[in-house]
Amino acid sequence: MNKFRLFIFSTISIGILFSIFTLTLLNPNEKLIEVSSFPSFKMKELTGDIINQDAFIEGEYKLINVWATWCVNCKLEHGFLMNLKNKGIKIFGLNYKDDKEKAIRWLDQFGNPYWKTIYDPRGNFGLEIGVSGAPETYLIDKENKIIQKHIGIVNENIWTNKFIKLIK
Amino acid sequence: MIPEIGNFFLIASFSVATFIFCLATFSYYFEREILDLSTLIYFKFGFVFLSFLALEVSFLFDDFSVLYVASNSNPFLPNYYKISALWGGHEGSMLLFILILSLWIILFALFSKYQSARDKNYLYGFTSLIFMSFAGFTIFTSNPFERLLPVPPLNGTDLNPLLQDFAFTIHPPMLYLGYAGLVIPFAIALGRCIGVKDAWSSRIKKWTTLSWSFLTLGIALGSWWAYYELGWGGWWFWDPVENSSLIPWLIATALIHSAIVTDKRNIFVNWTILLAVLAVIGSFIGMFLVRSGILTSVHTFALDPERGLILLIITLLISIYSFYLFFRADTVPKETTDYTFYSKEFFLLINNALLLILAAVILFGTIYPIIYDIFTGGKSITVGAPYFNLTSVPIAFFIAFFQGYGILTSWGNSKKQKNYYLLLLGIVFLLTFLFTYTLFSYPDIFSFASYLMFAAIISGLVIYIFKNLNNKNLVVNNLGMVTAHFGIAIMILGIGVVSSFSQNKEVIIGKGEFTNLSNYKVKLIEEGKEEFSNYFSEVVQFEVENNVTQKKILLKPEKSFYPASNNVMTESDIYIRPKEDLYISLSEKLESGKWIAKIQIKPFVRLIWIGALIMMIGGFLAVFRRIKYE
Repeated sequence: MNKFRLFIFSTISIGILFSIFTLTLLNPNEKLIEVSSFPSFKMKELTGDIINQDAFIEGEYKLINVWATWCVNCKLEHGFLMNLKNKGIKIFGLNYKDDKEKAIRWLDQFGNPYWKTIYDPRGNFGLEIGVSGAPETYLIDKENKIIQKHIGIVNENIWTNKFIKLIK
Repeated sequence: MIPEIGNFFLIASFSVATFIFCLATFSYYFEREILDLSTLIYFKFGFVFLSFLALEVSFLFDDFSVLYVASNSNPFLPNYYKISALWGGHEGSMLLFILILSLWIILFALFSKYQSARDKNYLYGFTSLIFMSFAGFTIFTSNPFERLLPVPPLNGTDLNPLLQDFAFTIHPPMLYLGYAGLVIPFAIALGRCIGVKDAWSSRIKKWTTLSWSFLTLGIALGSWWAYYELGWGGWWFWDPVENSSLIPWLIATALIHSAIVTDKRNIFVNWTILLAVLAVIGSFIGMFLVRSGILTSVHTFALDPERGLILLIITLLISIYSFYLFFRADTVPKETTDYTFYSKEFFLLINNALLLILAAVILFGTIYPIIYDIFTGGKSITVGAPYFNLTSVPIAFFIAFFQGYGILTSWGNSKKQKNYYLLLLGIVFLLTFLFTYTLFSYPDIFSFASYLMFAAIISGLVIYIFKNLNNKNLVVNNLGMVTAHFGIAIMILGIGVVSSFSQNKEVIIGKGEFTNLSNYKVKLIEEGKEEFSNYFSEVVQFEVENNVTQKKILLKPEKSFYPASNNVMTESDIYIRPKEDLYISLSEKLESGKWIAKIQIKPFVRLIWIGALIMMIGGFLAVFRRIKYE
């Protein structure tokens, strides 16, 4: 078979394939997650106080950030969360599969971006809302429905594209 | 300390590979003699192996200061699973991949003799290019030795329970043996492009067959795992990850056959080179699809688009490099060999084209959701089994038909032969057609097609053996081919039987009630509830009685509810018999307290995996016979 034709044909098809992949990678059209309502719960905070769904005021957007001291990426994300806090955004922390003393020490040492931190040492509560690891960030709307979920570090870019867009 | 040693050796192996590639390139362009690089190949393997050991040690001693260990292991995990947890995530599986790749390169260094050391150095250069890219990728973007200091966690998150399973522990290594093995024919093909011609096509044939066998086993193990672990009662889901292992498999199959023709007749040279390149690119694209997270699938790796971009760039550069070498290669044969439309060459060519089209169709179906997403701006669509069945079954049908008849043709021109083979084949075909049509009152078209495919391949093989009875050497020498073809026939038969004779019944059943399906009486005897802090699990015990043998057995399917998130996990239970599997899974509990349960009977489902095993054995037979033969 003619080599040149084979060459052209395969180059073009591989080229098209790669352009599709690159396009997808560079402009991720964020998929909306399936909206589910946030479960009612009764948990302890890191401070030891009881926290339940009443802490989630209806008519407000809420942000939940899953973190742990064993998670390196949470440390990397920490700075951005502090910025959000300084902008006046209330973030609920979900301390996931972690040790209480270490978690408190961590917050003391690096700064506490959270308004309230739910303590979930065995990951049971995390399981209910579908946490697969840390860090993860959830956006909950005015009717207490989970409308966005981000796995991994939230940065300026993700914050603008994935979260700000949904907040009306 | 141990993880740092591991990291050190990983970097050392990367440096050695880079050195080999640069030296080989230098030697080619400046036409200088250089030292034999074989020694470095062994060093490279030694380094990766030490690095791999270091990570294993970290797993065994629960060193949770290593991020990767902390996220994939747990002190309570049995040691066996601690070892296999190494490839339970993205970073570790990359390390396993480069370990296996360097192992293949060692095997190549040991078993392939080249006249000039320089020629062999070039091939080391090409293999090292791939090694270097992936070792670099591992070190810079997904380093498994990353530490969690200064505050290491006390405990690790567990290995995903789905992965704590025997089939899973050997499924990835087998798949990687297949993928990485394809790098050897890739290097030989690129070597041919720059003029290294020592028995290149027969070597491509041998190495491809070997890695193809492992790939076959790896895919079959994955399918078996999905069948009994995921509990959906299916054996192939057209999941993106499954598809991305099937595509290189199809290309490798085409490559083996094209290399056979090149070896025998010195034609299809361009085809063989291109297929060898495409097989590797195909498996890297598969790796990209799985690990970049642009497709969603049941296999979840840590998803990271930036990693995906780097993987894409690596694959792109390798493609450009190999296409460039292919473009400037001198592949015009000195003398052309003629063949007619009625020859083995032509049949193999058609089947090669069909295999490639099949691969392309599957690739298209797999990435269609992303294409759709691009053009519609964020809308999503899923491409499911109907598309894949509708497109792949007809193509596979023709492949099987040409396969069955193709092995009866001879090289160059088969016109001299008497045509009664064709007639015999036609008769067998017709008989099967009538047999299935009348006996089974017309099963659906897909399973019907699979019987015809089975008949075409098997009758081809039987006639082939009869035809060559007086020429035993030929059959013995082609034993591998015959076995592998037999294996695919068995697999196709299994697929046909399962899709046409599966019985299933959805029943509403309460305690003490029973239902009959085929020869079984299924009785619900007990219900139990296990409560956990935030979910509860319902275990229902069924007594299954075989009406023929009177044998009784208990099956305990489970259903777990996570009420808040509305998450449901079902775990089915299977009664395995040689002839058929009885599969029970729970679906809903009604307000009356009765259950909706799904009972399925899967006759001869095991033929599918047995067929794959036979194919693998065929591949090994073909390779090891040839080694002896030479």
